[in-house]
Amino acid sequence: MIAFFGNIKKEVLLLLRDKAGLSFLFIMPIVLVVLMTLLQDKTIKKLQVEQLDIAVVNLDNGIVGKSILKGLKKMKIFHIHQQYHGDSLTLALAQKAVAKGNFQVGILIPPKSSIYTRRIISNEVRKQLPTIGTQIIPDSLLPMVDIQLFFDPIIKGSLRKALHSSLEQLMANIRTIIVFKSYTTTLQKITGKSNIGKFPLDRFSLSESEDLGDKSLKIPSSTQHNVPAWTVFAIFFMVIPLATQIITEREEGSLMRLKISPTPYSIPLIARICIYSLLAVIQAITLLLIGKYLLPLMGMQAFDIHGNYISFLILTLFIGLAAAAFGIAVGNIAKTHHQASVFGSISVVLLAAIGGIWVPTYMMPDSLLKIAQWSPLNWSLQGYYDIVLKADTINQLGGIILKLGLFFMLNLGIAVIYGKRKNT
Amino acid sequence: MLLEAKDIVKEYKSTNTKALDHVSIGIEKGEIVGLLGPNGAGKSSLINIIAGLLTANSGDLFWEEKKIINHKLLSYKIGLVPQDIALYPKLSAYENLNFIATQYQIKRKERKLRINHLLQSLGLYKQRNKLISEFSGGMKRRINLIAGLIQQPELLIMDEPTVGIDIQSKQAIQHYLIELNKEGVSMLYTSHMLEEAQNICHRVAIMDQGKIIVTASPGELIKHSPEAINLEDVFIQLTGKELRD
Repeated sequence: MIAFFGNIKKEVLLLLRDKAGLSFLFIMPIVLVVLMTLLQDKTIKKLQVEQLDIAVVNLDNGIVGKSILKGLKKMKIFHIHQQYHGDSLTLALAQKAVAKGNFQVGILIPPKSSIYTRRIISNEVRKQLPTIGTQIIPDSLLPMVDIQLFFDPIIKGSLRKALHSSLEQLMANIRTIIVFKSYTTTLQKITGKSNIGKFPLDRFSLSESEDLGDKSLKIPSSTQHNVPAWTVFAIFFMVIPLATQIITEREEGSLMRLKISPTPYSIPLIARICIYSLLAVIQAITLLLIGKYLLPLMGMQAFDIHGNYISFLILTLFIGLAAAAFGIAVGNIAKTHHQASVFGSISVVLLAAIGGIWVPTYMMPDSLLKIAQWSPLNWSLQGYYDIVLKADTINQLGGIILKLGLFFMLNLGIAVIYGKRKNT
Repeated sequence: MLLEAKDIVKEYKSTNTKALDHVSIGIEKGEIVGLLGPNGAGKSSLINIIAGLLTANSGDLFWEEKKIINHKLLSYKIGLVPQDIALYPKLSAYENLNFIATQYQIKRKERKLRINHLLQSLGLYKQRNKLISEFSGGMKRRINLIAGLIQQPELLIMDEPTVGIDIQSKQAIQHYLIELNKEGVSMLYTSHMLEEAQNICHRVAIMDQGKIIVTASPGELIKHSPEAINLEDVFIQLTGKELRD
């Protein structure tokens, strides 16, 4: 135990005196958390929208315009605007407002849409049920009913598709009503019976049951993404000072003292892993506090882990273990400081990029998503997401902890093999 | 015999060189043995094998006539002063020595006593809280020596302990080594400072190209070498004037 605590004290002193390393591990992630949360807040909010602001330019005075407006209002996901800064929306004004990001979508219902829809349908009915005195117009001479949509470019494809299908459905309903009306009017003329009913559209419905518990599609807010993401990045960035320290020990000869002492090599190794894992926990707590108290002061959402402090700390400890073992492996593989710092920083930045630290994985194409699953930074981030978004407890994080544990063992094995090779 | 190396062979596969070619050497209790030789003679390889830092391809080591199987068991008995300043520059002298002492399981009170005594003996007590990076070359060499003595070894192995330092520090180290030897500590010591070796060694072994050419006391070597007036003359006669860089 004397040797173990001697190593602990030595590691703490060396860490505290490495001002550049400490600033990398603490100041850099704090700056990144604040900066990236602020930068991504607006964009992520747009992606998160559950209610789209729609600018509707309704130039039609009939059933089509009124039904679309009524139908969109009925759906809870759209917020309809027909005015902008007190002025009635025109096409130009709506396009300008959408381009500025004031509305996410613009819809133009062209003039006479109802008259043209009726005309097209009546013509079709006349083709089927010809009556005396009516004339069939050739299809090429019939007018077009073209409802136009324009989107804020930031709006995701899925939301665009949702709006498209909503409008398609509304248009289909309108057409059904008009078709029914046209047929009944024509039939009335043919049969002489006046029995014009209303199409029972309300008898057809689509109901939705409650979510079955899978909350994996929930999109994190800027705070919910950036605080854990940069925490993971900061923890893994310990690879550089850790690997550099191992090489310094080897080059300056202090490792030799450890080798000739009666203390087994595992003792300094365990002490180093303990200290760096503890460092990871301190980093995570620091960034948690920044997210919880500083970000709200800057108008951002506060970081909340739903009281899952134990899960948060245990997960962080495993992330720290994985990062420390990776650093020790890099320190044992690399021959020089230069090699260690270049390989260490490039590998962490690459693993961060593919792991969804810089750009969240839900924004990635499917091909990259498959690669992301191989990054330990992605496992770590997913673990934090599970705590933050799903309020998962430590029991539900078993898979992620197992992966991090295996990564720790693998790197430790590599470090021991390379360390032994260098010693012979 | 306190320590004996028998028929040691060491080959480096990476450079395809034979650093030690069936080398045998012994150190008696209380003896100071100097290992002299030009660069690349195999001195450092030999002392690294004796200290347990390198493994020989063949040959055996004996401690008090018993074959050494587990070197870690001898850690308390053999101290090493490497040629490099094997210390943490960002730790103070006391912190470095305290850390090394913990690796030998020395208890806190005892650690404090030993470290302070050694620091005082080598004139570094006042600077004990200064960082190693702020020390002069001579001060670093003295701390390096203390680090090798912290476990109170019976045999002290030193690889050029006075290289690159001023006369004052060199003399302080030499005097201290002589005092230490009087207390019973045996020493195996490599150096290019032949005058220093002549002054403090009871016996010297001159090595060249991985072999020990001769072993005798400095006086005997000078006496039996024609036209030699000091150990340097003997050394040149035995190893030649050819450059060994």
